[in-house]
Amino acid sequence: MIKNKLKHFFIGDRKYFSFVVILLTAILLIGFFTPRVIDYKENNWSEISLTKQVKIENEIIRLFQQKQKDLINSSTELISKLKLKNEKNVEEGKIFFSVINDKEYSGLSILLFDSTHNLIGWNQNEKIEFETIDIDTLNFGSTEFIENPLNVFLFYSDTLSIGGKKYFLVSAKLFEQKYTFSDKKSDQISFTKLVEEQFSVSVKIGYNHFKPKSLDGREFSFSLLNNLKKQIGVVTALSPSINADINTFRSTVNKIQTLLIFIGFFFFIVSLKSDFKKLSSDLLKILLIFLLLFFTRWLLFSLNVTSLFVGSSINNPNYFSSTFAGGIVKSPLEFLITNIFLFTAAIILFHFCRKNQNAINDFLKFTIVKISVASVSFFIILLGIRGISASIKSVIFDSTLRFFRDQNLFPQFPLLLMNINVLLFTISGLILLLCLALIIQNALKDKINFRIRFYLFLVATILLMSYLFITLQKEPLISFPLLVIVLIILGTIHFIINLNKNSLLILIVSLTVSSSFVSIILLNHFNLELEKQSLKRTAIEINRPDESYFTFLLNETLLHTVNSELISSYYAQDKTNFNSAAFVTWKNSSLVNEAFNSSISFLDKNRNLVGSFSKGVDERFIAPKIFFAMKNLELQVLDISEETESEKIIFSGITPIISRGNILGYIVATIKYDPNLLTTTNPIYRTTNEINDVIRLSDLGIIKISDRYVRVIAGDFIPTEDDISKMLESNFTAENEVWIEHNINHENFIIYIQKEKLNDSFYYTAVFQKEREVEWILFNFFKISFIHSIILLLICLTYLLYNWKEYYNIVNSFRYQLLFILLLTSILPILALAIFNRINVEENTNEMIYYSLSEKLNLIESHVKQQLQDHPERELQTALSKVDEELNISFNVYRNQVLYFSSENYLKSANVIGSIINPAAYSSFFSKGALSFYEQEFFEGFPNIVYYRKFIIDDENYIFSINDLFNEVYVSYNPNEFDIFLFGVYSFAIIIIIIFSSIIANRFSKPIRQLTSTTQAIALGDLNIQIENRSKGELGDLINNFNKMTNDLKRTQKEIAQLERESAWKEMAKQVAHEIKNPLTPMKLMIQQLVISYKDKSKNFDESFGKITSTLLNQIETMNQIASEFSRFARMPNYNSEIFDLLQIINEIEILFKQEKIEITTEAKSNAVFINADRDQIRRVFINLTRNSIQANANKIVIEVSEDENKFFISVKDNGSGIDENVKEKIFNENFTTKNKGMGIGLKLAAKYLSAIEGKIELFNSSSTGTTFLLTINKSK
Amino acid sequence: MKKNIKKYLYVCFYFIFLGSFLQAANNPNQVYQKSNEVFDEILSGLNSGSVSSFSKYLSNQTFLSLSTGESGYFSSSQLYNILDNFFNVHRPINFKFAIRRSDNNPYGFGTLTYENKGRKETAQVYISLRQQGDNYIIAQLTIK
Repeated sequence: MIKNKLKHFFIGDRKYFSFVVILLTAILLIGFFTPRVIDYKENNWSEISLTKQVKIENEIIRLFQQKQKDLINSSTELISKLKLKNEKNVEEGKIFFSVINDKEYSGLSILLFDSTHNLIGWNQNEKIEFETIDIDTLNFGSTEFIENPLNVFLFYSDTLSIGGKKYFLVSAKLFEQKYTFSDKKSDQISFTKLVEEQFSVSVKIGYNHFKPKSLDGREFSFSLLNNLKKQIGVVTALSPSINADINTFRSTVNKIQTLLIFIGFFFFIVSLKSDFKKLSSDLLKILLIFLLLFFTRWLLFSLNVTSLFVGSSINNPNYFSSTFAGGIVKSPLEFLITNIFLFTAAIILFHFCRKNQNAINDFLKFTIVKISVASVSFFIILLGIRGISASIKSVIFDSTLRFFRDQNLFPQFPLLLMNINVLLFTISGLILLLCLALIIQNALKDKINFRIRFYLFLVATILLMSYLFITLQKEPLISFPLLVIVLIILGTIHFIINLNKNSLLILIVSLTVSSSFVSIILLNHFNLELEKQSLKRTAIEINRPDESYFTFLLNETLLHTVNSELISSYYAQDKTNFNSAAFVTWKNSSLVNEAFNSSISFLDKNRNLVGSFSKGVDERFIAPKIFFAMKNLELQVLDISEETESEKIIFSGITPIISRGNILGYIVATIKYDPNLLTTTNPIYRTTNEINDVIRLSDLGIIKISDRYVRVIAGDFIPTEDDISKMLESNFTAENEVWIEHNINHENFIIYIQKEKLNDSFYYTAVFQKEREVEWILFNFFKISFIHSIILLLICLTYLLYNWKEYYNIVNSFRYQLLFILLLTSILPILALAIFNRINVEENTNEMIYYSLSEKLNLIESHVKQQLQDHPERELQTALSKVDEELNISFNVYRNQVLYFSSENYLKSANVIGSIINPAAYSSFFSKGALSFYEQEFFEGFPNIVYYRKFIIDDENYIFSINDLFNEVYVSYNPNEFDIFLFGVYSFAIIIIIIFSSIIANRFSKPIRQLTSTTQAIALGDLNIQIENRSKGELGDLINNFNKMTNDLKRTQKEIAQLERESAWKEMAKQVAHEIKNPLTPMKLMIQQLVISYKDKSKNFDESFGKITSTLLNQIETMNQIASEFSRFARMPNYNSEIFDLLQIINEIEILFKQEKIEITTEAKSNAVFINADRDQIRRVFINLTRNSIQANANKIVIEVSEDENKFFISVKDNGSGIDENVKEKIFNENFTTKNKGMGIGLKLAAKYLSAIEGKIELFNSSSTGTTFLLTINKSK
Repeated sequence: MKKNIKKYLYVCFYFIFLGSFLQAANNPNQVYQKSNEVFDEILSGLNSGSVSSFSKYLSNQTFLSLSTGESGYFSSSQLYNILDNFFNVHRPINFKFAIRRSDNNPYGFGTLTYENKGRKETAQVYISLRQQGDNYIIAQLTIK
């Protein structure tokens, strides 16, 4: 019995409970076995550790061998190509350059030497210090590592013979990059990092053959062998830690359990699906769905699913994070997940509100209730708009993503995701507000009297309520004009949706476009606020670093470096380039993140300077003399600021580098804080701590005022004394700050001023921003609207693909063909114009850059010549240094192919700048005889235009080069910004074109569609239909003639039917007469015979009487039969009985009347309603009922289908004007009609058709708000 | 009698006047006490890895710099979550101030010992405070 009960319980969807039980069991088992596995690991750790070590070793070696193999294969292929090409007797130099610089070898650094060891060929990727390569010591045909403080290369060398001449090839692959200029650490090439990430192990690699293996028991070492099985490196890795392994295992178990919980939860929900469907109350259903959504979101959040399974940048709170609702929006990904749930809930609620408008109407019976509900709903709308506004404010303020400052046309993924989040959130918010709008519409439906006075009153009330809502709040979060704009947009979408209830595509497009508009104006509004706040942050940032921080920073930098084995190794090696070492040390220190200037230098054990790198620190501070005078130097930091330059603060720190008790040397780190140098715009020195990451530096001005002395730190806004007086006399708050608006040099500025007191004097920091112009606001608008347009396009494409069957036929329709032609003729010229403009701007920009660089080089040339002329005794190097100092233009000079001089001397001496000229430039000068050359190059990943020109100085060839990376070049349009503007404007224009083209196509195709649907209705037998004609011209004439034709057809059909009826009746009468007459004649004769027999008192009278009466009775019976036959004949219509689904017929009716202003909805508990009847007749019944509803001014019909065991009950309810009380009883009478037109047989026929199948139709109820007919039809058997 | 009352009143006013000066003189100490309280709460928070202990002193004007690369100004919500994530990965074991000054420009630095993937490591921490009205907020928090 229990088994049966269980079987009965777990039927249908409930069978999925079994999966839930299985998964729960699995979770419990995992929980049970996890500690046992951990115990096993702990007990057998030595064996497990050894296995892991062997595995790691084999994998690392395999990885290394692969890289080595690729290098050797590429090199041998290159050698073959060089040999092959040169056999064709083409000039060697050209061939060498072209083959070596093939894109195929762009990942390698290639050097080609001739037999005298002169460099004759190289590629653009050259990074090896070629001077360090000693051909004589190379082992040809094998790989080796070459290491310097900046990089480690795996290189392969070989010889080749071409035309009897010997050449030496060195090709190298960058193996380890010890620094990077990129913000992304992932851009740094590092074999060590690759291995550490892949195998979760801490690794150190010695890239030389004499590095010993580690004897430390906590580590294991193994050799890296080259292609000749010779050790060229040693890898030392920390032995796998049991704690780390157990943590990893636990983390994996946690992930599996979390996944199982979710799958179990999913099956649990699926198992309750049937029970859910059986619920009768829609309200209960919707509450349960909301509960489910809420619980699922909570589960995802509390189990930390995003952190467990998605570890990327979109989970990083750096980009966006809010503490709202306990953290369900604590990263861009969490925000997206919350948005998806919110969107789902909004859609469900909206669908529920639309479907249950009748229920809402029933609830809103009394006027006072209607007004109260409308008011409260409107108030909630205002709160909702405030909520949307607050959320978008959070998106701007709780984020480091700058929506409007990003230079890329297509933003990086985190920013793109946040754009999607903002759009999706706004769509969800507007959908929820539309639900409230629907309630208000239902509440005020009866009150709307279509008079202008009413609408004015309504608008005034809305504006007043909105104004009060804003003014009565301390922090309204939205301004009154913005609130009005959002309300207008909301009203517009509501209107559009009401007009196009059946079109989901129009709903999607109108919602998305409106949400895009609302979100962009709010983003822009709050971005302006953020810009204003950023002025305060800039002032704080200018004054942030102080002596305590400098001391800390230098202490930390020196502590960090002194503990590094790498630093000690620099002193152990011969020929260490300490300038490179200083650069790498600086790049990997905390100093690099700060905007102020700093330097690192190395001293030997005798305190002589051996190398340094400086970003803006004067030479005398790189290794301050004060340290040389000290006896014992331990780690210390000193203030060495000069009294003469009070605004410049200089701190320097020193620490000895000790190895095995011996001092190898010293490191000196220096900070020079000069406020004027905080605003460098050189991108290679771009730090993570920008002075202002919201506003471009060119739009900012910063000044410091002390004792009326003004110092300009950034910008070219120079205030007058009056301006300064006004600024200082402003009313400062208790927090010593003030915001003012002021006009300087006929431009309006917003100024933030911070006051600080130091030793009885006041110091002011003022940060200015120019007031934004309209073009800038438009630029911002188009920037985001472009991204939203792409999203909208993707949504529409997805929708169309999902419903391709429905739209496939529509595509062939007249409307869509017209739309397509309109779009084609409008958009193509716009696209052509956009492409033309883009090409134009790019060319102009390149020309401007070329011209600017050329002019600078002219200036350099003239100065160099002047220097050499005025000081003939000076060496060229000195002359170039003087020119560099005077002009402050960054340039390089190459003598033949080698770098001879660079303005960026620290980068040159650190070998960060390549020591050989661009091969393409060299080739163009020395092979093609060009005098100038320019090309786009990349320096540490930064694209820049480089311009070269050849000069002859003292009979030697020198090539001067200048680029736009180290020199500011003014261009009127930044191509990236122009792209954004162009794409933004044109995408916005295309959306407008699509909207207007759709409206036009719709309008012009409407008469054609009406004709099509009317023709369909006529084909189905409805001749009462007429097309409303508002068109003029040919279409108007066509519609008029069509209506006339329909009327004629109807009249003719009536006449034919009448004639046929008359003819049928005549024929029938003739038949009846004939059939009746037949037996009458013999009956008359028999009675006459009987009378005669009676009169004659015949002997056979009794016999005759019997016979005659029997015959008479038979004849009468015959006549009775004839009458019955004819009666049945008259009653029975011709009908074709078949079993069909009534819902299909109703669906046809919905489609048929789609173009008319009536909405037909069907509610049926079953998916199919099978009856046995004449399909055409039933169709005609519903057409009649629908036509009657339209004629009673109804715009909505609800058809509900319910059933009992044997019958279907179909109620057809409309919201028309109803049937008068005194005619209700007559509506089923033949020839009864309340209309001007019509025969009055529609309902009569309906009753007839239904009674023929033992069904019936009755008027259920009727009032001024609508009429309901009830049809009863037997179920088919 | 009237004269005595007048004298009495003058003396009272004198002492009140003096008292208010004393009170004013005491205010800096009260302010310094406040900065000490802030440092204490930060100390407690860094020892336990609980950001909530000192999150009320974080603001949009707090500069954060961590060894994991985060550096700059964030909103207080972001600061909370970033630090929370940081302490989840780098679980603090112990923190001590090496230097702690509670004068006009309060600052302190010390060493934080933490556990990261099963290993014990240390980081240098720098904290500076800034007065905002009667209260203090954290101006800078650096963990390197």
